[in-house]
Amino acid sequence: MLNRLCLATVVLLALATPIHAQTTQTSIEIEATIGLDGWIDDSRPVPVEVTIRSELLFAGTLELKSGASIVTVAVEVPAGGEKTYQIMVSPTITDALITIGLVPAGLEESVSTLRVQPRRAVDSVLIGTLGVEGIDLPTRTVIGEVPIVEVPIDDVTVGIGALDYLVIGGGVVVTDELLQWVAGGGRLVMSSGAIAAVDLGGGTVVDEVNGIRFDLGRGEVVAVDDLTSPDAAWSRTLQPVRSMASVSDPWSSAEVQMLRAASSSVPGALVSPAILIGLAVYAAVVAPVNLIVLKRMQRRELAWITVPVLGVVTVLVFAIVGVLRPQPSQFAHAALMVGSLERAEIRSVVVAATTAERSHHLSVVPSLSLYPAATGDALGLGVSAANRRVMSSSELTLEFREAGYGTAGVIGPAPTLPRLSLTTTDGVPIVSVENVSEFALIAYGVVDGPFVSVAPGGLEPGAIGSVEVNADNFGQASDVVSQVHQNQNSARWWQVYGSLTSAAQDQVGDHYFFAFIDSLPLQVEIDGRPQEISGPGMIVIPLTGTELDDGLASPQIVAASPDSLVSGEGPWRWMEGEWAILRFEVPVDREIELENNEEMFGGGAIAMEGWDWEAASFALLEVGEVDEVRFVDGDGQMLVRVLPQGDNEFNMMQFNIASLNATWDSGS
Amino acid sequence: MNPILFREALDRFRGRRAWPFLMMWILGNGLVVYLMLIVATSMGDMGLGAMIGRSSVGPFMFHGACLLLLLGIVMILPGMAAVSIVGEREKQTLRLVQITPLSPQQIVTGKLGAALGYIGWLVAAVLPVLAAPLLIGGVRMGDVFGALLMLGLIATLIGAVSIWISARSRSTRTAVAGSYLLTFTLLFLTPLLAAGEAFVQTDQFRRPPNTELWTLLPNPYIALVSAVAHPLELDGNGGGGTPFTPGVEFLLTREGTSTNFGQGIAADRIVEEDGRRLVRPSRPPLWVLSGLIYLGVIALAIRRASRWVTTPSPSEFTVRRTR
Repeated sequence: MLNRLCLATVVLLALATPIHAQTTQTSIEIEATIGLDGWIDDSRPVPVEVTIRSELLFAGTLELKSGASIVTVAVEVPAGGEKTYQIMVSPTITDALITIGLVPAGLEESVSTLRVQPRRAVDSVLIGTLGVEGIDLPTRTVIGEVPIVEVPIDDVTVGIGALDYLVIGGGVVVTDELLQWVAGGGRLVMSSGAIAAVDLGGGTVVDEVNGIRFDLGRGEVVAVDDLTSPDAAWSRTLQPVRSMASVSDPWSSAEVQMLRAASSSVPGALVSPAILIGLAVYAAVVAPVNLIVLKRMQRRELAWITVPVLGVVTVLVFAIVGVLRPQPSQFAHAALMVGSLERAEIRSVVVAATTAERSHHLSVVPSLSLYPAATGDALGLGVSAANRRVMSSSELTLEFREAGYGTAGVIGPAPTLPRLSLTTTDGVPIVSVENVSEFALIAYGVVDGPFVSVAPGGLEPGAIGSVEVNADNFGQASDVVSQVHQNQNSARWWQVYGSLTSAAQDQVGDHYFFAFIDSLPLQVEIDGRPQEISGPGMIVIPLTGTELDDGLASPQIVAASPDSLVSGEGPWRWMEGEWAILRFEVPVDREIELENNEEMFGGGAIAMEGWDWEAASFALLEVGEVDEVRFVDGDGQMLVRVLPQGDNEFNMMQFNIASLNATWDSGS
Repeated sequence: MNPILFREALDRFRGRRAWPFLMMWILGNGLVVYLMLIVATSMGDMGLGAMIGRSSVGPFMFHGACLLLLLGIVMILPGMAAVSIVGEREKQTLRLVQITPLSPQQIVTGKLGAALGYIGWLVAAVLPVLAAPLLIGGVRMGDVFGALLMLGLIATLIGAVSIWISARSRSTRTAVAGSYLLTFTLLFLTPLLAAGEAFVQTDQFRRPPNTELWTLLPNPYIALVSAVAHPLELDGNGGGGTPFTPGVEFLLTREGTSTNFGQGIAADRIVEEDGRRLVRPSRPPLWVLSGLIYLGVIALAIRRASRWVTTPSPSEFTVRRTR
């Protein structure tokens, strides 16, 4: 009887298990949206929204996998209900296809998976539309014939960083977040009637001929009479604006550069002469001393035992004394603080390295957000990266399955930054800096296109300094500081501040104030204990080229022929393709000259065409004086298309945009 | 205990050169591993910085130390094992050993054990040097056991073959030269033969190989890499490069995959196991094939060597009466 009962139980259990698995598989649905309807902004953490519907109670883990990056979140959905989870992830995780899966508690395999492919508007103009009916956008821009992609949106709080333009109807409220997006480089288009109700704060009217345009930070607000007018009305408004500088390899991404800065800020302590001394002592003990003792004992054959025993003892001594053992877990961070129109933002990447399998729980104050940051797998590094379990927007667990490293990104409002004011003395722009921040600045200066001006020393908190903007030093901010100050440890300086400079370039463009901080504290809780992680920092406050007015403007590539490749960082950009459109920002009331320094980094023979704003077509443009009436528009924009001479294409290294400049008399 | 092994163990440290050699061995290994530490740290710094690069220091040093031990075995063992039997013959003591109650197999295994024991002792002497990667981290115990097992097998193979050569040689010089020639052939000539095989197999390298490169299977370096790197992992192979990287890349190519820049791996060839991304194998592990070859050759070499040291038949002792 008992046997039959046991058998029946086994059969029932065996039958029940597959039924449950099958039911689970068919009763769960997942839906996911990445960024803005799949479009992502490479310069910011990307929101991923996952909705789970389940007929039965579901408790388990939501897994996001891309390459070796694994991000998990604990989820629970009531029976017959649905829940939406929003996770912020590093933009580098979206370099490849993302697999989203649901793993029930106690199981290892996903019961439901979904694959999503993020999209990047690399060679198109992305236009969001909100609250506008009957809008008829053209399919291509008139200038450069760049494809236009329309993305209807219903919420301006998620992922609008991916957009080049946002067209809003009269009923949409212009929030502070929206203005902040404009100040960061966005372009907001709205009807002339609605714009009157918007407080544009520091916005300035720059052009009243082709509709009213307000400059706001690095972006602009454009007022159009009738949003629903036919194509022709958009031809002046919509232009290729995306800086193609960001189209580059994963190494150049801001997060990876900050990761590098953080990791390099901790000096490698493994190489020490103590190791060699220890080994020399060991060799002396094992060979001569051991020999003498055994010889006296007349038992040389005991060396078979004494030598291995001494070896094991020495290993234990090394392990205990710590000659070779690094700290079990080490934390570091590097931060970028970006000043903006109204509020500054801090972006930091925290790196943890361990020597064995373990996990660390990180949390930050609620005003900051914590998210899984970039890892090196996108770079083809074979170093093991920890899995990240997201607990909340300010809590995250790094799960190391072996010795390796883990990363977390921190984003939120920055503390007070130095205050800037711009004056001109004898035609030379001077940026005055009042260090109202709590940090000592070890170096500071101004980046003006390819040129960097550096103040002679540092700036203590409360002190006032100034930077004279000139075109004396060409290069990246970190390199020029290193040259001017001549007291920096070049290798470490390059790895830490060179990486931070590259990260900043991706965020603020070509004109900005910068300052380096040696030790920037970040308050975190690690495994429940409050700790202060110290690391290098960089402050960047964007400026505009025309604000500085030093008589020189370097261009940005805003469009290129289909299938072109743009690469490089800092002032150096190289391209491969048939043609590129470069944009110069110049003053509207000066005589402009175009210079092409062909000697510079292999700048080859090129032909140039300028966009004739009156004729609405490209016309031949020569080096030398520029006809401002034809080629410079009302807000100081000059578009130049460069082509190789003859029927050739640009090959990599053959064209360097730093060789082309627009100059004018600034009075200095 | 095998009496031959016991006698060899007693005599091992009586020579004058034994102790200076031990000191040089420890210092030499220490210096090389320290240089590896410097190289690995610099390589780590150049990538994503010192802290992240630290994770690749342990694997780099471990792979380097494995290679160092392999070279140690290749350089020392043939010289020792090759003189073991022919040396007795030259000293005219082999007959004395042969007429003892020891079987030929005992004589051969005793000599082999003595040579391997000394190599093991030398490895034990440099334990503090070899333990460095373990203390630094990034090395799994499974990798260490895999490496020690394969190194032991390689040492036994080289020892057994050298003793076979020793047993059939008439002079020490011939035996030593023959042993080193065979060992160097195994280590350095097999890759060249494999390149030739691949050249034919792949239509002058125009398409990827689709069958096994049989000539590379006996190669000790590839066997060692396979034993340590099995199962093939996509991450955690020691960052930008280690002394095992060429071997790992060969093993990936053997599986029809590659981690080289620009060459992706099909999603269905990646398996996740315990959070690690592994390559789904399409062929038997190379170290198993190599191990089987080694075991076969070891058995054959011991058998053949034993025949050469077989106690002479009584007829050989017959003294012909002459007038």
